Amino acid sequence: MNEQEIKDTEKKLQRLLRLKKYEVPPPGFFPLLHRKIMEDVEALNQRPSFIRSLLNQAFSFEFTPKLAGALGFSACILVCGVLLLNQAPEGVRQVEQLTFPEFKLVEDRSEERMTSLISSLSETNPLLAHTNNPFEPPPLKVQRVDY
Amino acid sequence: MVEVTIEKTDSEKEQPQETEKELVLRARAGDLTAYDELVMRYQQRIYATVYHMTSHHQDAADLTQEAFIKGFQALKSFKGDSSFYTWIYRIAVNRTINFLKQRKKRASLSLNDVDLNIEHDPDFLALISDKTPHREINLSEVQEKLNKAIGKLSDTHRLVVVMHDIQGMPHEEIGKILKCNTGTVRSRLFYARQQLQAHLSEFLTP
Repeated sequence: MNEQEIKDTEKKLQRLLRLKKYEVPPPGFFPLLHRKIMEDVEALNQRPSFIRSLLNQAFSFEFTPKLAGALGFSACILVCGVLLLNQAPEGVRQVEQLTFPEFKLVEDRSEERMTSLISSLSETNPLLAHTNNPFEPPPLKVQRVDY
Repeated sequence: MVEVTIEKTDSEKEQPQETEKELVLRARAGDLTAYDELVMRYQQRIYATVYHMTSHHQDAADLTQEAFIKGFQALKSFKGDSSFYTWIYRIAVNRTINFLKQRKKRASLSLNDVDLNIEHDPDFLALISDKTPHREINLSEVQEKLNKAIGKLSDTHRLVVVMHDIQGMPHEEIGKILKCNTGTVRSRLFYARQQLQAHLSEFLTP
């Protein structure tokens, strides 16, 4: 193929390809497409943001009978619960006391331990009881008291 | 034959057509009539490109619609580095290429509505006169073979052929839309034409 032939073939191909522009959609297609696009765009434009939609929902709240009933019921339960709690302060005290004896028991035990310690110390050194801890205050003088 | 001329009203004469930039600014500010005008200006050209890429009327309509909606959503991020037309065209082209990648297995159908003015087109007449010594050819045969040959090209090669040889866009504009240099556009076009010549040899050889 010489240069002229190559150019001719290219021209013919371009001519052939230009015929594609005659492939057109049916009449009335473009106004319809335009309308569809703008309908979607308008819908998109009118769609509120998330926060705005929440606010809208909150302000345009409609009380249906079921919803009102449910709201009333839950309010009743809340009021009853508060009343019950207020009327039973003794119960609460009992609950507090339930934990106390255990603590007292420990205290009692420590008291016993202390008395046994003192008595053992009194056996070795009846007047002085001291510890090895240097930070402790000076040793206490323990005197035996007879009741 | 009656010649129909549409006279412009006085108000139309007084008001010059708004520039694309002004329309974009108005559309960005939420003026839908401005976006409406932009859609009106470019929908046909964008549809045509998408149609020639997909060879399917409904797909082309859907993709054009999607491109304009996406364009509206992203209008605030449009910086104005290129023209709105280039920008929206790029959106449409990218969506079309993505669509074609997903559609690989689907058979494409051709739009068989052909403008009958083709019979008066000098290119078509030349094609017929060139062919007459060998055998008669008809319009549907040309259309079918042409679409098949274009369909055999890769997406990127088909795109440059559609934009340049069918839509008549200059290389520079194609380069801007595809974000590549003119040299790349020219080389793609050269390669695509070579392939088309091989597929359409029966219409091209003397």
